Amino acid sequence: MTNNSINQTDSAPLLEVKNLGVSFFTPRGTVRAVRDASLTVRRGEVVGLVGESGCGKSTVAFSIMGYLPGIVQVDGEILYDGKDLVGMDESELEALRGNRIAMVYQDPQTSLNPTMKIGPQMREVLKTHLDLGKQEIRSRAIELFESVGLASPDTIGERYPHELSGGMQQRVVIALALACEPDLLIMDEPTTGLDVTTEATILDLIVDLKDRVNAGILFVSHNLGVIARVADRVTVMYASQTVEDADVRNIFNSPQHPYTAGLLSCVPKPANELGITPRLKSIPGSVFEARLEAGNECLFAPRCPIAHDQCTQNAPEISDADGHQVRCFFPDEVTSDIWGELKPRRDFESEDDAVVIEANDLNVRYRSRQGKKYILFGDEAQPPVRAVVDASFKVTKSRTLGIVGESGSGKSTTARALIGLTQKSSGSMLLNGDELETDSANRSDDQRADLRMVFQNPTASLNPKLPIKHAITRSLKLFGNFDNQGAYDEARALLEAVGLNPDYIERIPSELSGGEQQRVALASAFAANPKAILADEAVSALDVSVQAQVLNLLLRNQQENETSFVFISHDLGVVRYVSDDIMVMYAGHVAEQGPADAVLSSPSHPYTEALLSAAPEPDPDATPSIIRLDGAVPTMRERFTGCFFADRCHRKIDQRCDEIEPPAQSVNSSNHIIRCHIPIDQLVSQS
Amino acid sequence: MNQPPVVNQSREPALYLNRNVNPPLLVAILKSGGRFIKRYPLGAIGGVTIILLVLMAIVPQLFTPLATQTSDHVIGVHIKDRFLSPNSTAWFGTNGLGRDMYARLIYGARTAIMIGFGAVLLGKTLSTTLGIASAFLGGWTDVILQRFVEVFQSIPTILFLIIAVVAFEPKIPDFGPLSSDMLIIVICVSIDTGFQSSRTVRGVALALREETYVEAAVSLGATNTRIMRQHILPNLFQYVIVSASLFVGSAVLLESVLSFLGYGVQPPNPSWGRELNDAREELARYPHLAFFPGLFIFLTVWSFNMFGDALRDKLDPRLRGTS
Repeated sequence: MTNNSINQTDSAPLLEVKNLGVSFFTPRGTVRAVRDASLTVRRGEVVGLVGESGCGKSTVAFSIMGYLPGIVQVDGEILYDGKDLVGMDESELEALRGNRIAMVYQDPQTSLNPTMKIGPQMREVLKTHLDLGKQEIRSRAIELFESVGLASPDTIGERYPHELSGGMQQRVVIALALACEPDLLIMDEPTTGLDVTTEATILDLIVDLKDRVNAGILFVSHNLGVIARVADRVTVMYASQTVEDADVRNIFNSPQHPYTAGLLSCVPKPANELGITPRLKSIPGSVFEARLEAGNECLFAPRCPIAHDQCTQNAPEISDADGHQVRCFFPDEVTSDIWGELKPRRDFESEDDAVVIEANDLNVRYRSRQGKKYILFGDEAQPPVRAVVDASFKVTKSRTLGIVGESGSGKSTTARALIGLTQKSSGSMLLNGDELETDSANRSDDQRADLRMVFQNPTASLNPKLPIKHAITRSLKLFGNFDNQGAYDEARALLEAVGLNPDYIERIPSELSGGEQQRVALASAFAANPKAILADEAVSALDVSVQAQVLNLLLRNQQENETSFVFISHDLGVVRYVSDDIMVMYAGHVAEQGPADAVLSSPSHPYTEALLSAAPEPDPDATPSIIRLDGAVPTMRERFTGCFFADRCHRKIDQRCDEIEPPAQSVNSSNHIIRCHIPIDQLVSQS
Repeated sequence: MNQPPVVNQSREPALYLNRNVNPPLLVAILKSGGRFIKRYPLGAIGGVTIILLVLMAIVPQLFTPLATQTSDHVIGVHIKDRFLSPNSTAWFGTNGLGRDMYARLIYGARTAIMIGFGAVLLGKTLSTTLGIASAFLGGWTDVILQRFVEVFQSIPTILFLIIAVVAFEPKIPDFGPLSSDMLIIVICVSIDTGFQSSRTVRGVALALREETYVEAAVSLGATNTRIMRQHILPNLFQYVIVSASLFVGSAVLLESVLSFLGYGVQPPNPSWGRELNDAREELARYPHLAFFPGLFIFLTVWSFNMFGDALRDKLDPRLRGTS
């Protein structure tokens, strides 16, 4: 195919999806995964496709690739370069796929063959689609590895996928997709499984690629921050329809569909000019069910704050005004206030500074099991892993300590040591001034009643075989002096308090959605009014609208019951929203800790600085800061010397960093502490 | 590269909005039975055959109205009527002692089913107990139990059964409908499978113990007993049910093999394996004597396997392809 003709008419769309509909026929009925989706991708442009899970984003992406199972009905048109892909026969599609249209998947681990070295995988793709000699293929492969920013591109082909970090794997997958210089690149949540610092480097790569390769990119993501960072245009999907399509700035600054406006107001943002963090608004209800037959109505009407009678009597069509397309009868009524007025995050400040949770020099070490379990075989080959090193912190009454860091930084281990699921190796933990036993089995009922935990994965934290009432009534009966009937009634009240129908009490977990399951987990943590709750990535698995609901529930509970929280998340935006104090952890060490405002502003630890600059902000006009970290969090073992962050630090000074443990420096003798060799006055941000 | 598209499968709250309107129980059972037949036709055929076999075991009179287990033409000797070919009175012919093969095979079903179900009930109880104990008690209990499991895994099953039957049979009394020769098979097969499959149960229990909901219970102060009862057993149950239904066939086969070798059910009690053995010497002249017992054994094993497979796919699709 010659690209010249297309280059000249730059405005002609490369891909045009028109009124796409996809139905799956399943034994349990027809599923309308996509009802009416339209979008356009031009060359040299990144189009972001955004929406909550279950809105049909991925199905649109897969339809373009032609990856749909047999029992499916596709209506509408998918015009690629003027040719309709719907109904095209398999051999023609195969010639396009991988060659002219390439796809990057969410999980790089499953897109790479684990038994093949990287080089041969790349050469295979090149051989299949391009007519090149052996030497040419070799040099082309190296060129491609170089173009996606892989270090030592000439030797990386000799390595197996498992020898690479997640970020490097995703770079390899992108290089594979670029192999044949495709015209259209489809990326389905390409950074979702990655750490925030790695995500930032991959997003940089995508922005850079957009300028270098003359291709159109369709970027599917649920993360508005990521979309704002890479996209030129944005298409918003809701309940299997596209509802808005516009330039990225128009979408973020003046959304015209109430759903888009709602999504935007669910994302935690930094404090405004007055220093007030606005309270998150949330979208009530849940996404319109794909199994149901849509009547003649707007599918968003049941959740819409500005719905009129017309919205339930007629289905709105996409209308276009100056390139801003929206599926709404009343786009002019959409303002930033329709989802509720601007309110501060919470309307109280705690005066009581009684310490609820306290940890002093908490250490957790993991030993390898071998050599202990089977007495006769195997020595301990490696020294123990230092999962948490000398962590000291206090959480006072009705305040929240946020712990933030990448995966492998020891955040979860800290919480697990506090709740007694992982054994601490030294240091002390106190609850209301009383020593907490290492093992939860040895703690008193009072302590267990006062300290609870909410886990990351709501589906896994509820027994799939038991009705949800068990999870809630259990703690009520244990700690709250309730009899069976009393516990049952109280459990219904708790369900109602977390915004669930009390009749759900007899259901088993698989009959609830992920967000509903997490609310059940919250209800059971709130039962019998604990003094403190540990929330380990409690909102990470949830969609933004549900995440906002859950965060607000937590804050409301804190306000009503004076609960203290330890809130753990890798998402800096969420931690910033809920926390009074923040502790930044890296490889088991506390890099920086102190009041939230102080930690998030200058001066800060180089690692905090890198985390802050990596966090994607939902603002297309934000200038991305350039501090980037390569590699992954190392595993800290015993007999380690020097600074924990020295390997990846962008501000490493000299020998000291490799040899001496960094001192804990206090900023202006306050409780804001930074562990770094660089003097405080030089840690003030240069930008 | 070819991934199936992600359809919104997991969230289906709307589907359950009408859940309060439950259909009558019988209708619900018939409906779910109908769905099972439609989705797993082979499993359904297996299920029907199993029902027939169980009926044969409980009320053999339905199938051979004239005979009882001790009636003359089942266990008596009739020199005149030896080696009759299948005819209108003896449908499957008669054997070397002139006994009616059809009646003997119907009564053989009782032996096979009693031993099959008995061995599975006892064996799976043992393997579940041992497996959970091994997973939860850990330490030396685990080490010692697992070494026992390895011993059982390294001895050929048939060899173990022959030695055990020979060694213990004289010491075992009759027990209800099970005569001592049957009881000893049940016990030995249970011990063998109990140890062998306890390792898989242990694996599943260890995995379940790492589940977040178990950790959540631990953080609320749940005891080991409570965790086993509330969280491990219910989630282990479907796995045990499936492996039990698959094992009935194997147990029936083991009984037949033992009886064929002469160590199993003792004459004159009817047994399919023993019938096969009796047919061995006259196989060339009277092949029907081997054909019919072989057919019964084959049908039984096949039915339990097909039904077990379907049950596994239905209860836990993730286990598909494993045994």
